[in-house]
This record gives sequence, structure tokens and C-alpha cells, in this order.
Amino acid sequence: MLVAEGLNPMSFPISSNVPMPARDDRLDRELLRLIATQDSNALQHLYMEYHRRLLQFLARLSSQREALEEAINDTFWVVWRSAAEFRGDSRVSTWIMGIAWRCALKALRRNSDTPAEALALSMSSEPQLAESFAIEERSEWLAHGLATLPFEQRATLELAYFVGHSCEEIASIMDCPVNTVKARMFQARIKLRNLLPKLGGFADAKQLGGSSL
Amino acid sequence: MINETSSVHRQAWDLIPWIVNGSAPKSERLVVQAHLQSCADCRQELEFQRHLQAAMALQSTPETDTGDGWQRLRSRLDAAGAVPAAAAGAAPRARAAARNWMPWLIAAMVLQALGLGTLGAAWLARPIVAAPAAARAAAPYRTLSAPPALVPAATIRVVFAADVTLAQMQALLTATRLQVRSGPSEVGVWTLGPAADSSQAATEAALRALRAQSEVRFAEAVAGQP
Repeated sequence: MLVAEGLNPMSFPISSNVPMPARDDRLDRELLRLIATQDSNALQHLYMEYHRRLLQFLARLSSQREALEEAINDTFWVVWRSAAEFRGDSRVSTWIMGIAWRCALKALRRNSDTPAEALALSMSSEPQLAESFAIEERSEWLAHGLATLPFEQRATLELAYFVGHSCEEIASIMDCPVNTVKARMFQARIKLRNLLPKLGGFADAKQLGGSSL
Repeated sequence: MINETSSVHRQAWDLIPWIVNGSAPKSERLVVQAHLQSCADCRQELEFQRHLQAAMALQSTPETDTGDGWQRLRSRLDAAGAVPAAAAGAAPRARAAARNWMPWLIAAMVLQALGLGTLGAAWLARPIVAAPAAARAAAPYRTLSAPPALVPAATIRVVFAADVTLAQMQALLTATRLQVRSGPSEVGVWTLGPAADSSQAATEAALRALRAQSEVRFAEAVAGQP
């Protein structure tokens, strides 16, 4: 049986290590309520709080900084105009990310033919198949692997692992069925496992790669 | 594994990313946990996805800077006549509401600052407001309006970055000719006052200087008596 040494299935940790800190939804809802009363100070506060969050996520999908900044301003324009329409059936951060996603797609399309063409992450080298895995090497490998994913699959993965959204939230953000999110995640996982079999085993590469997936 | 027909296996395999990012509800975590005991493939996949997430977290994230983005949006709103004339100081109703949410708004900012500490001092040390001082002077960031009563003139409230050192604070106070009046409060708010010059111009200058510092997460003059 291929059991990684030291991995006790009964006690696997469930804590996550998502890089993006979760937003306080009570605070966001209060800000949104104030924005709905046309309080531009509240809008400014929300802008300051979210600018980095949105740009950091979007910049992982495209290097077109100008288009992304345009998308973020479009996002808050929409937030200003439609804060009163927020129905409260999701977290505010999910609602705003959904607006940002749509605005980014539009802005990137304005600047190129397709979002996929806008995906211009730096790929400085081909994957290295060396046994030794320096952090930089692994990072280049991963960047290459991620860049080969279709735009929506890459975005799904980043929303889950970088921003920390749930499957249902990603469906809401990308305005697609939950099953589509699951399918995109499935495809991305298969592709990355095939491309980067050693990624999961940089601690001990021989323990991985034997899956029939 | 694809040719396995077990629906439980497929369900568990599909759930793994949401276990990894912590968003799966308890019921789903239990399903996966139970399945992992008998499935080496899923245990491997869980490890792989954990490594993938960790590696993605380590990837360099592009530098971000709020820059003049807010000023451009504000100009756009003004040009469209979207901001009511009274909004510069916020409508009375909104102002009253702002007072209600101010304490926990500040608490949230402090908590967030603490949380950001795990992502590296460089990121944390970035100013929350990066607009040029001149632009800020023209349109000061005044989201948190403080209660006007019971405070002496020329009082400034400040939240410092979580990793600020005592030496940095002292240097800042010296440079801005301010003294600590009280603080920190339970939510990390310091109340400062002028060491000498309590004129409005001096207070505004000190405020601008504070806001230009990356060690300052938030600085606001309290609307006090003249």
C-alpha cells in the first residue's frame, strides 16, 4: 500500500493555509449598507481594503496591469451603483469578486481577442526534470504548469487555493453551475498531476507518481 | 482510479481541494476522512493538492499599489454627478451609522493587520493608502469619523502597523511633533496630541506626515473643539 510515511489518515489536519486573509463579512455588509446611502467615504474605505485583494488575484491571471486597474475601477463603479441591490445571499467578498471577475474579463477582452491570449504569465524556462528541487526551480516549474491550464481552470484553481473560496462561491463568482467548477477543478488537477508529478513529492519524490490518474 | 466505480471514492476525490482550502463543511470532511482510511490514491491526492497549494502560496505575488486608483474613480464619480453634494462629509444618517461601526471597524483593521503579519513584513509594511500626500491633502481619507465630544483640540487617533517598533514610533512622534495622550486602546488605537503647536494647520501637517508612513495603518484627526 502506498502510504506516505508519517501520514496518519485519521488525523490529517484540516486547517488551511490560504494566502489571502478572509474578510470580515459583518464589516463589509455595513460598508455596503453605507455605500447604498451614497456614502462616498464608505466606498473609499471599501476600495482601500479591496484594491490589493483584487489586484493580487487578477495579476496572477494576467500581466496586463493597465487593463486590470481599469477592471478594478469598473468593479467599484458597479459596487457604487448597485450596492442597494446586494441581496445578502452570499458573502460581500464573493459578490465583489464576482463583479471583479466580470469586469476583468471585459477589460482583458477590450485589450486582446480572448482572455486566454491575455494570459501572459512569465515563463522563463521549460520545466526542469532534475531530481533536486530548489524553491526557485519548483516555482518556475509550477508557473509553467499553471500557465498551460485554460484560463477558466487556472482562475478556478487560484480562487480556491490563493483566495480561499468554496466551490459554491466560485460558481457564483464565475456565474456558472457548481458542476462546471468541479469539472474545471478536476481537469486542472489531472493536468497538473501529469505535468508536475514530482511537485507533490518534493519532500520524497518516490512516494508519488504511481497513481492511475 | 478512474475505472473504480465507487461513488464514494469519486465523491471524496472531488472534495479534496475544498478540504485543502478549508472551505468544506464538516459533513464533507468526515466523508473524506473516513474514505482516506482505506484509499491510498486519495491520500496521495490529498498530499499532492496540499503541496500544490503550498507551492502556489510561495509563488511571487505581483506588487500592488493603490496608487492614484481611488482618485481616478472619485473623478469618474464626480464627473458623472454620482456623488451627492453632501457626501463629502457623508449624510447625517450615514455619519451616525459610521459612529456605530467604528469600534469594530478599527478592531477588524487591527486583526487584519495581525493576520497579514504571516505573509511577510514587506507586504505588511506597505501603506494602506499610497496616494501622494498632495492628493491626500486635497481629498483626505476620512472614512472613520470619530465622535466629536470629550476630546481636546487637535487630537489625532492612530493605528500603527502590527510590526512597528518602539524606536519607529518614537521617531515618528518626534518628526511630527506629537505626544501620546493615551493608548493603546483595547483595539490598538493611540490618541496623540501636539507637543507644542496646536493650530489646525500644524495638526493637518502632522496628519499628512503620519499618513505618508508605512508604519501607520490609519490616522485621523478627531473633530474636536477649536
